[in-house]
Amino acid sequence: MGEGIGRRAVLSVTLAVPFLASTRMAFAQSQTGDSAIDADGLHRLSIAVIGPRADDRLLAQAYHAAFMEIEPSFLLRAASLAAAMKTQNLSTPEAFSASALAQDPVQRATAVGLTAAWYLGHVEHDVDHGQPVAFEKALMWGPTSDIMVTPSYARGGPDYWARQTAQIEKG
Amino acid sequence: MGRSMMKISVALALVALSAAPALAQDQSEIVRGKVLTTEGDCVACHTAPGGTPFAGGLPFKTPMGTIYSPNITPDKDTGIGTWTDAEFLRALHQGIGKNGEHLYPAFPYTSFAAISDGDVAAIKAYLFSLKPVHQQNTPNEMVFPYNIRSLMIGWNLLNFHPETIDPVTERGKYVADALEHCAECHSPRGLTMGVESGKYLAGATVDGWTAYNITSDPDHGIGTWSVDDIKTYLKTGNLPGKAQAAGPMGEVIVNSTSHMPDADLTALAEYLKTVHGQADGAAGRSAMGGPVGSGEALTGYRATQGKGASEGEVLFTAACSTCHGTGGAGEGSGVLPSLYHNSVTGADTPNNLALAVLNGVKRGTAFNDASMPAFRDEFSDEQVAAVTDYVRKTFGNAANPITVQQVSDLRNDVTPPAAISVLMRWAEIAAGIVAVLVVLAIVILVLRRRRV
Amino acid sequence: MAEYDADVIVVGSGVMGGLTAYTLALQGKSVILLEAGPRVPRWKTVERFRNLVDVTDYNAPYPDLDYAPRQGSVDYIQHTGPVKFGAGFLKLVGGTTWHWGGATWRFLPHDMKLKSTYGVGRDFPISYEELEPFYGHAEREIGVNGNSAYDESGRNGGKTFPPRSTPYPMEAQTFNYMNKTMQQTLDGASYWTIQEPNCRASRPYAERPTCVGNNNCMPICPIGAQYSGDRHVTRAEKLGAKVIPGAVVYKIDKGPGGKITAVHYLTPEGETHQLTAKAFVMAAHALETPKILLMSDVANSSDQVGRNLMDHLGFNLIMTSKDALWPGTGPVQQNAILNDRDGPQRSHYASLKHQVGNEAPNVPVARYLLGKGVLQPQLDEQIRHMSARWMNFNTNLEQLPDPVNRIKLSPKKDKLGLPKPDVYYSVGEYEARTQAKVINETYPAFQRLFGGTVLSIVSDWQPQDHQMGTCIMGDDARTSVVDKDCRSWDHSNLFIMGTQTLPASSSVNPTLTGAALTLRAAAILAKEV
Repeated sequence: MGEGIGRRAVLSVTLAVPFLASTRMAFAQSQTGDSAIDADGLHRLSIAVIGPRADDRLLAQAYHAAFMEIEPSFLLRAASLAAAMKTQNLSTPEAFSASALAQDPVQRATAVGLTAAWYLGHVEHDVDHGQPVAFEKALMWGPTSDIMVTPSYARGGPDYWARQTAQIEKG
Repeated sequence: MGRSMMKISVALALVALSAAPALAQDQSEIVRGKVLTTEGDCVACHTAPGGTPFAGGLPFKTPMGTIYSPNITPDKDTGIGTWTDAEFLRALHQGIGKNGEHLYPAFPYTSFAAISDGDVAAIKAYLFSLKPVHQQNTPNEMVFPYNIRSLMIGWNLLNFHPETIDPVTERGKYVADALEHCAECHSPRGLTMGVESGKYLAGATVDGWTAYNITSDPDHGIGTWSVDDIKTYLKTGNLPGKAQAAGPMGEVIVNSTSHMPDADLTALAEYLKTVHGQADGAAGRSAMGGPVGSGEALTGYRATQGKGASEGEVLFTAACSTCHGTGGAGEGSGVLPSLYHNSVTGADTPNNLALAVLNGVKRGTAFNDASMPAFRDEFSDEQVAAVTDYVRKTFGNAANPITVQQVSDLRNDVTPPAAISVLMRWAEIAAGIVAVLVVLAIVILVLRRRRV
Repeated sequence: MAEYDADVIVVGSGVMGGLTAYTLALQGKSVILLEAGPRVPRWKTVERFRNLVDVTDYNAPYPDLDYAPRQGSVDYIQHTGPVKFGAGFLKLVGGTTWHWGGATWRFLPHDMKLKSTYGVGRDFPISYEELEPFYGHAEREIGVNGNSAYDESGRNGGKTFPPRSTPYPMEAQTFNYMNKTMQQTLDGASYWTIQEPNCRASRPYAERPTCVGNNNCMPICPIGAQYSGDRHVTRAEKLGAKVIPGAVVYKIDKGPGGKITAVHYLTPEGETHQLTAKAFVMAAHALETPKILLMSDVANSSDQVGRNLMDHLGFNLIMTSKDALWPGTGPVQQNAILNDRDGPQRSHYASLKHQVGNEAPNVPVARYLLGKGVLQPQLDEQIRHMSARWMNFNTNLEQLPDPVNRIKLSPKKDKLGLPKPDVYYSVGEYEARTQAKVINETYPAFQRLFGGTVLSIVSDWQPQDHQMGTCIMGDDARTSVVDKDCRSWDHSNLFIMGTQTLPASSSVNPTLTGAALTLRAAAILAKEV
């Protein structure tokens, strides 16, 4: 079935992901002298906001290029977030989320936008349009990958799914 | 039940009782014969694709013509139902058919000659217990002069040197040489196309497939494999982190070695560990390569956006990585094998990998069900070559990249998958002709001298 | 020069066209198979899928070409009714079964005698008993796995139903943890849960490897373990059939005696071609087949061509369960709850099938959480927690044939200058009443059984891509388009193959029934050419 179960269900429960929120505010900030973040900076920021699973330089470069293509001003906001985190010496997701910075709506939206890119594997204008970067390496699969499949990839031979009961019940 | 009926029943019961010991004895002979027939893997060659087991009809295509395996069910018209014990023994031990005709050495009597008389009788007892199948043999289509069976006399003179192996004290060698006839595929052929002396089990090419070096050499053979490793491989076709069977060896495992009694499997494995090591083929074929690291692994994005991705990378990412993983790790059980530490990608010849891509893998045993789709309808020769080279270069042995022509040959000369293709030793037959001519020449010379 | 270009020309290279061409080619007939779309290898679709922005759009990996628009193509279908008809079809060699859940159900005897049993809808002109051997044939061709002992009527009668003369060719695939656990809970509450028969290989079958549960049956089985229509197209080609991709049929010629004499097609570049044959088969899906017939004024003396458009009406309950059930392992759909599939209530309520989807839910879960602004270090844990509990109940409901639901020719033209389809689609009281009952009674029961927290009840009708009825089959030339042999009442050498001939929709996926009718008709046709 084509447009059936999956997509309609997705659209029915999901909210807009704020990839591109607060662009105007970001633009305003850029007037204050921040310059756009470079790929290495985005790589470091990603590790600080997301954690070690975002430590992939090649992917960071690809996300950087995708933001450049879809919404270059995001790279200004990212520079602003990176600068603020550096000032406050925040270098882990735990530290960031516990900080006042994470309550700042603009900075938080930037963190969510960056996280969304890594988790969904793309930078998007909307649900249909954007720049794909990774599928298998999108971070959304990781939290379930000890049991679930990353769709289209094999995780075992025939009937592996019938042999997971013990593992699942163990927790 | 009327009285007369009861009498008949009682009589029948008595007959059955008196016959019971004999039947039991026959039965155990048949069971023993079944084990031996399986170890000899007779079914592989004597069954046409999709045909009835043992009813023959499998073609062996050669440049000299096509041979069809015969019906060996006990049908009296078309099978071997009228063969005597002596005729059956003569066929296995001497390569001579029911009517005294010489058999082509596609039939490995060169190996079967070492099967004991008792075991041959048990094999016959088993074959005669099968349901007779009325299926006419397909006549061979051999071109002159290879259609002259007596030429085999010359070939035999040169190449047929039957040995005696004690089925009890030399069990492993007996299983390897007499029953499983490993050397028919795994030993290379010399100039006269006889088994090269001193190169026993050092590896050879058979109908496009490489039968690897299985001597005890730790680098080139399987010397690093433990007895249990060898047993696991022969039982399941799957030795994770070292080798998985496909093609003719996959067939051997499915039809034969996966059913072998454990004692024979152990004897065979222990024997292979004693076979004199040979340095033929790639060193360390089952230990080559490693996983592709995170930073280097392709995302779909890189492949399709053409960021320097070769056609081989694109095809690997789209097709192969689905089961073998983007990093080539497969999954742990080896049913979907890793592409590194895999004798097929680590070998110094690309043909087995290309054949697996073209024809897929079907290796179902009681222990696992390994099946890989065939890509022959989906990939062009160029694409098969590209993906074969990419996988070997990335995960295994980059030596001897495959050519498009090689792929095309492998695609078109594909042998029937069920065949354990015993090498058709046509050059040997040619040598046999020469030998006959030489003998004739000598005879003529002798006769001339006498006249003088 | 030969009198004809081929013995038979088949329009459409999906599962029905492929089965027809294969059946004919096997008997030595010359066949030309015309396909509007291109030929695309499986790996290419897999690669396109992995490079989508929205991987939940099952159409997106497939070509959408101006000369061969697919489902979801912008402005192709012109919607004129109260309900948008999201018709599902792909245009490429192999057709729409490139993306399907692979469900291969038989209809029940009552499904085929709806009018005479329950007083609603229409009857098939053929009985279950007469079609039964062809169901078996279709199961073997398509390669179906299932449990031959099941009562598939949903009434848990404890014996095989509907009756079958041959077992499923493959053993049923095993249930995953979610399905096993769910089955215990549902069976305990007398919601009988069975395994859905499907066309994934549970052992190597024909050219297909064993399914390894890559959870991607839709939009593309990446390894070809699941059947798709290209299989029989390829087999037909190996037997000598000729396939012409990029052949957009736009006209059918009538000759003396009501015989069809030729078809005309356009290439993507707009070149016209004509082909002649002894007989013709239309297998171009429930939308394009009537469109081509209407454009040619063919087979329509009954005025039923394009009418009686049916789909299964779909709606969903999406919730999270109290306990972790772990969907997302193995194939994407395995179960079916069939309590209301059959019974006297069908006089008033539509037949129903419920199913709990097994797709890995990470995309909607991640979007949901990101939309709420959840960040690390909480995000990973919440994705895991929610994904493990995700339950998507999908309900399919039988739609009755109604002549007002129809496809007509739109005045708007496509790139090749051919009319676009104009679709009037509505849903009747019978169906709406059934949906209300499910949402008010059944969904709350499911929610209670699993301690569920409802995320969404998607009650707008969702297309299930099971279009039926537009070339309806019957036993009266005045009220139907084809007879029980799939033969046009108006043209003795024109056959229409596929689910567009079904006069009743049941609540189960119609492909196997279409395939059984097709194989039966193809055997009849093979004797005539």
